[in-house]
Amino acid sequence: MATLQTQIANLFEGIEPDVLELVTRVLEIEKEFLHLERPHGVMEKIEDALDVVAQTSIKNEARS
Amino acid sequence: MRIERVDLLNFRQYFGNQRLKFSRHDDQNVTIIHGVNGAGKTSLFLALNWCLYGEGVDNIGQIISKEAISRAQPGEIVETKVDVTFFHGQKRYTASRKLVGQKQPNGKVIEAKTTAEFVLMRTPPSGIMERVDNPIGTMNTILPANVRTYFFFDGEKIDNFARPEQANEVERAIYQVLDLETLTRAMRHLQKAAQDLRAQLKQISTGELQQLVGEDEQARGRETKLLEDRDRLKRENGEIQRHLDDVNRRLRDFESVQELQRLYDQFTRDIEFAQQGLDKAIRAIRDNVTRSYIRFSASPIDAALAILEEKRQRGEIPSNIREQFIQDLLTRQICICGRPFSEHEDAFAHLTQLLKTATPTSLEDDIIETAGRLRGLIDTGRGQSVELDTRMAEQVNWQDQIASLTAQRDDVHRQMRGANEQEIRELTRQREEFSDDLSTNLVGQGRVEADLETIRTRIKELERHIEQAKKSDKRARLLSRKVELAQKAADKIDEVHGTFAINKRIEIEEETRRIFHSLAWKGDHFQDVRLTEDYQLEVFDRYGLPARPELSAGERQVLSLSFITAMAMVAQREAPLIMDTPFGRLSSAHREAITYNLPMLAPQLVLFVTDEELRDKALENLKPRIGAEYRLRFDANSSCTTIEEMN
Repeated sequence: MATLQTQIANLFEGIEPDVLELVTRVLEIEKEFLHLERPHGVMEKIEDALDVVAQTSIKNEARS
Repeated sequence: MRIERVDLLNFRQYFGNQRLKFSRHDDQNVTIIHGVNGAGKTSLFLALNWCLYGEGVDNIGQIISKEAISRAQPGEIVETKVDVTFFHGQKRYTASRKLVGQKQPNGKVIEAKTTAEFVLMRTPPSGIMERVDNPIGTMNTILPANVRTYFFFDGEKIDNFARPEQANEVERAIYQVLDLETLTRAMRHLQKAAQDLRAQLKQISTGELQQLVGEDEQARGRETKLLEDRDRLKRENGEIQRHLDDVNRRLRDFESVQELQRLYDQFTRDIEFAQQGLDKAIRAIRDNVTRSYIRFSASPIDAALAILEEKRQRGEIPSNIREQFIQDLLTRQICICGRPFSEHEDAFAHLTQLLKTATPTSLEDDIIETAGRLRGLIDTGRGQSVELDTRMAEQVNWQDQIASLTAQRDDVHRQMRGANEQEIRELTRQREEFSDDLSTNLVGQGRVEADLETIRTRIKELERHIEQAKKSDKRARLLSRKVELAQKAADKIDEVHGTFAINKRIEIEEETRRIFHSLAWKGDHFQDVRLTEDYQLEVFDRYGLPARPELSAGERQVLSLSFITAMAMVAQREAPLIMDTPFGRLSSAHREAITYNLPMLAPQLVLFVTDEELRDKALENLKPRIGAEYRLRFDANSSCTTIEEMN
């Protein structure tokens, strides 16, 4: 059987590349903070990830 | 994660340097640590927890060895240190936690437990050891602190999962061990980000876009409220159902209404079965109706077929065989009546003319195929009508059955309500109230589901309008894209989370059932183990009745152990199972079953046991799997414990 991480990753197969990129980044951030009950700074990191992914998405759209 | 060894320095009663090596072989994966009560089993267990997670030492007094303190001079520094060396993935790690204190003139040492130093060293396959920058984060990635409690536990305290009031604990365990917590948090944070960004978008937008964004915000607020209502109703329904189960269980204990309660239970099961049949029939009807456009197209299809047939009869559309048939007659120059003819006769000229009026073969084929398909559609439509009639008849049949069964059950209920014993009358009254509450809530839940569907359709409409309105606003574009991405990611995680949680709950249920049957000596009596949708761990006896409240303390422990090992297996987490006094409350039959099966259910098993709890057949069962064995020797003169390896 595949590891838990692979099983979860497989569930996101086939979604839009930009959304997949964001999901991957956000899940990594959440894992980093998971051991804390009330993590601080997690929203800032997610907003940064959103900014990067959204800008890339708009650039790619303009190119195509 | 597989633990290689533990090194102790002056930890509680373990004075000086002491070492334990754990067995890591696949076929000999068991390490046993024997010790009488007070010898230091729990201290060793605490040493592991303290070293890896810094937890478990708050209320246990001094952790630096008293012997070490007594030998130190006032002003001298004394320290305790625990190293745990383990393998994870392809890497070898050594976790070290150290605590120092200075001996005071009064002979005491003040320990600042929160300042204990934690270091994690890592040796990759390349062989060069390195210090890990974020030791706590890394340790939590290997085996999160909250998950650890399901792998390192006090055997006597694990029956919690099998207690009726512990559904939340079961749910929490599944969420933590299976990483569902990560998905839940990600979804919540992305939704929050989308909400904040929508507010920003509203501020910078004007006119139509602003109005649309406002409407969208309102609709989403309504959706959130409805989701909360739905969750609340589901939780309440679970609570009411638990109360109902409890009332029914108590009624089963009264001899005077035992037969009536048995009938009541039977009717309840039959109603549930009929309800499943009804749901299935309704789903089939919905599916059929979705495809019903074919039936409503019967009339135009008939008209199309009639036109094609008329044209074919007029010779405008010859049959598929016509062209080839004429070609054959012309080649052979023999009529179908057997009379030969030549190129100069009228018959030849007539056939040649016929051939010219024939449409091309491909067109003929297309027309014939079209007609065939049209006839096929009519047949499909007829089949659907027949199926719909059957399903609707089934629906009516199930509804009649439910009505009849409910009436019979109500009749039984009324008979019970008239019982002589006051307590029975009171319980039936409670059952009536809970049943009414449940049906009211279910209606409410249905209404909320319908409202949710409506609001989600509206949100989708608004999304389309916003998309159009924002194209002209460059500044809003980035914000809008961020909102869109955050919402899509949150929705996808929500969807994935739902499916994943259901699948994993079912897998855990199956594994728990399998393991429980291999560990419980009354496996035949307990026919089934279920993990319900609201995370109740339930056992059913041979009569199909809920039997969890009747489980003995030992059986609860076995059920909990089955659940924990099932979770670990489904999660595919390679973590050792470390159990402190695991068999203390178990009878010999359970001990034997567990010692026989448990080594096969965990990659590494470490047991802290007394001689009394591990002996005879139970010890014999483990022997072939034991790779390391130690005895803790407590010296009453020094109050210190020495770890001795057994041969």
